[in-house]
Amino acid sequence: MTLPSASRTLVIMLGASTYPRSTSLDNPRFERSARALQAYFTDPLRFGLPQDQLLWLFDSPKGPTELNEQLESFLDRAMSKPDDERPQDIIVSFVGHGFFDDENHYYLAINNFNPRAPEYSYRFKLLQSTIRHHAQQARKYFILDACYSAAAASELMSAEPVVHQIKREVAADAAADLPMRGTALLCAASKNDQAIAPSADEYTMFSGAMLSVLQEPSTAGALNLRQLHSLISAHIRAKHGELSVQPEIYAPGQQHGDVGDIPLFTLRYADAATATDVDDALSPSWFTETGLIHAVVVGRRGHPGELPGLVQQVGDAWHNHHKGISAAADLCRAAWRAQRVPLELGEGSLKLSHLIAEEAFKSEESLRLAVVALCRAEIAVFDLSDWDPAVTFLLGVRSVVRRGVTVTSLASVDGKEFRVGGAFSMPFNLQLLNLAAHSESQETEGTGKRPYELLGTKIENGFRELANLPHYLDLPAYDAIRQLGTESGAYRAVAMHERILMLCPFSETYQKKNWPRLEKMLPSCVRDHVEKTEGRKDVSPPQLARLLDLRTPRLVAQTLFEAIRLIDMCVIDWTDKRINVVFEAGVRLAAHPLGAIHVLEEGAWEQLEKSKDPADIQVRAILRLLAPITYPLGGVSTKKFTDMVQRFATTVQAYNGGQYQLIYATAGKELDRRAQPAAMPLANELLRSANILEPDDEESAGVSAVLYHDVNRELVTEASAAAADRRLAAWLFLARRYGPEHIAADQQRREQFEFLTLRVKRWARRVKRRDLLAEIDDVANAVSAHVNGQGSNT
Amino acid sequence: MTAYNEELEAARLVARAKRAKEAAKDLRDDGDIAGAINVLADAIEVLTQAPVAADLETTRQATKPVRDVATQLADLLGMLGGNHRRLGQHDAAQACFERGSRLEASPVLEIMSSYNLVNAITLPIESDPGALETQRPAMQRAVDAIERQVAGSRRNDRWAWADLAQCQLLLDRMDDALRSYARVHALGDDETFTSVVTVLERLSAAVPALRPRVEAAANVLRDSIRSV
Repeated sequence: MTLPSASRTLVIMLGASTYPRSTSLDNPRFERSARALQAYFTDPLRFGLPQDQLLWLFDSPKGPTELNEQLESFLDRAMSKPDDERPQDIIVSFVGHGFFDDENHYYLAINNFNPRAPEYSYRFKLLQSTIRHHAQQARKYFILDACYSAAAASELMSAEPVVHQIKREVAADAAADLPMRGTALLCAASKNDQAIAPSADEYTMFSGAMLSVLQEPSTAGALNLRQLHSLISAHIRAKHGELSVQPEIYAPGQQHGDVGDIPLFTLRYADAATATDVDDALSPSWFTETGLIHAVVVGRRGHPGELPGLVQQVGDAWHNHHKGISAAADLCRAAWRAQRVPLELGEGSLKLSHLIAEEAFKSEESLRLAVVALCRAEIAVFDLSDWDPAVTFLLGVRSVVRRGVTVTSLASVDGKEFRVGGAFSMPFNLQLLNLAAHSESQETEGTGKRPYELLGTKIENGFRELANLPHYLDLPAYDAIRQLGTESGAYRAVAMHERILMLCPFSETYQKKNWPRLEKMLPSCVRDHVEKTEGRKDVSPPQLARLLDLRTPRLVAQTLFEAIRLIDMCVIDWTDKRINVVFEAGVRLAAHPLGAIHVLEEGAWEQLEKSKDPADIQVRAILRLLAPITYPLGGVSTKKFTDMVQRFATTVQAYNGGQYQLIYATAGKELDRRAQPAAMPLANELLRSANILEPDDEESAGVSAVLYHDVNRELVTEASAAAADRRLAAWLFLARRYGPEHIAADQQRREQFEFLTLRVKRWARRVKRRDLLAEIDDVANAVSAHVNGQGSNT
Repeated sequence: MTAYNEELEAARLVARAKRAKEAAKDLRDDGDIAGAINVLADAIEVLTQAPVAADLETTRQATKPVRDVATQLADLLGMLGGNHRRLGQHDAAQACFERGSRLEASPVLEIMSSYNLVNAITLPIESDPGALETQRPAMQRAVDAIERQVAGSRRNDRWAWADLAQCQLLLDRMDDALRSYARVHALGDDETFTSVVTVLERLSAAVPALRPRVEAAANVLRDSIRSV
């Protein structure tokens, strides 16, 4: 089922607000309703329908035959477009009076209406069959806002049977349509519109509700017909109470899905200044299983009425690079055997959202939704300008939950504009980031270096590299926190009585004032706790270890992330709000089920409470959720330190009772399993490993992948032998694991097997392994037999 | 149905070409040269018919997927030409090499190979020793082109050095040729040397006057094979 796009949708607007032969039926609200719907469809910031794809027949003085001919030529012209431009969705909107003739045929009263002769009106069946004949391949949606006060006395019945009769008529004709397309109807039939829609109302009851739903959405996105029906119904109920006339929906299931489930009606924010394609990442309905590429920009809130600069730049990057990005993302998904990107949607294949970092810490639920967005977004772009704490914290989470694609960008740092290549101080654990820039001065750097170009190219290349490189990384932590060793002992937790991890600042003041206090008090409190709870007497206090206390020659970042993963009791000191610590906090909470004990020096907390600095406000918001324990720098009381130990003990107890820390639990549940290392098929893993040692086109290309290949031939020989071993292993694995029948049945696997067979056969010849050659031929012949339909199933 | 993705289509065609080349080598190793020709010709047909490979010889701009397919097509043509030559079908071989060399010469396709170019120039010499003289201008142009390549991105490409060395040898620029063969020696493996020596022996058999030059070059490479 292809998804709808405005560029491949037609809208036909029918109805009348004036009836020259029966002026008592005139109703200006019909025209206002139709005009407002037309405005919704053609507004580039809302539905975005190209003007020439809307046929306006409302209040046309023409008779039904001429109207029908106009409709036919409109449809023929549109449907003669090339395959990839041909309309695939047709919306017919009618606002006005409707009635049944003596034989119960349903008619739409047009401007030409004659109360004594139905043939002056547009018979609904004619409209429906015209559309069916001229647009067979399209999905059809009829939206009828029909008042039947024009009906003859015999049809003066309650609204419900009228709607059911219309539904029956639609269903009868829809049955003749192609089964893979489908017809849906959303219909309201009111007996006396004047009475139930007070004259103060601008629109009819139904159209007014529909316009409210479409023009003043609570979130951006797209609604299908069922959702639209349900929201309109709720709106009418809320506004009109007992006078409500509920609309009805008809949307039968079809062979290729239900036309009522197609997300057709685009919702955008009403404020024109902020109206863009940007969704709210904290909306529960943000993620959809439609195959769209989900992108999230994490950063500050924009100025009132404006989107933040980076969100606009990402939008521009998509506008200019969407073909390359979509193709590269599709390549990645093909490698993962995941749902393909709907390339036919062009620019519409992206779901861009803004994650306002400070909003993420408003409540536990908003934090949970932020983590979901970070797990699910295939593209995440972080605005690290001035190292916003909330953004940096979320970057820490992202670095654990997703291998890629993540792009980081700065507009300013230390109060100065940032350009790529500019000198500035960077937190040590983020120093390997490949930053982009979205400052105004970067805009002047010229073609190829403008922010949207940097972002677009990075995202596109990111997907391509993610598809092809086994250890692609654009953030620290992802592998370091997972790959600790080859023995299970390497993954053993470090208990609180052995070591406590301290994530803290390294400033001179802190090391002089805070650290000695914590080092003195905390380990002894832990020892007392262990002695008390375990009934032991000779317990040594654990080591309170900062990063520099972890004695190893290994790289700093690797050591840090290993400690974050393994050490049970972690204390994070937010005093000084060091950005390194904020990032590490995000990593820790995403990677460890026990989370951390958050602490803060008492004076620092008081300062934070008073501060109006945006960074301080963000830290305050984060800490409100994390409930820090403040500690004094002086005095003899051990209470606050005992509280820290007690907090940890409570966390362990909760964990043992099945209660997991929020960020960890959300990440574990919501992460995209396709992006996890376990998802790589073994044969692919072996082939990648072989190709890194010796690319499979090395013989043709004549270029060696081995470093020092030109001065040490033995290295090349060994690499080639190791590559041959991996290809043989891949071949044996496929042959044994699947067998000829299953290899033949899966084209991708079969082609991989055929290529491997040839490579391994040449190698076996060279090393004179006749036994292996015979086996290779046997299996290859069996696979061929299955491909040719002659294989045995035994 | 998902819309056409040029990158995925190109990846499919590249994989198809790689399988065909491996199959052709397998058949060739079995002595079935005609079978190898069939496999290669089929693959060339598939690649040529693909939309991504439309108008390759005249295109003025090429995306990476197009360049990837063009590279494979040139390689297939080179292999097909080589197999026709094995069967003594020099006209068919020449047609393949010339078609492949037009792709290699395209500045937009960025094909990092000179195999077809050099074979299109040297094959006539194998048939007619007199062509050694008439082909000199073409060989000089090839040397100029390949020298530019090995000064740049083909610096580590053993086949580039082998092609360059062969043209320099035929132009009787022996010092240059031996230096280039020394690069082949540094960058190649024993299969490379065997392949290059085979070419030299073929030339020597066709043009006896080349024998002293060929011997000198072959000695450089044979020494390296022994050392391996």
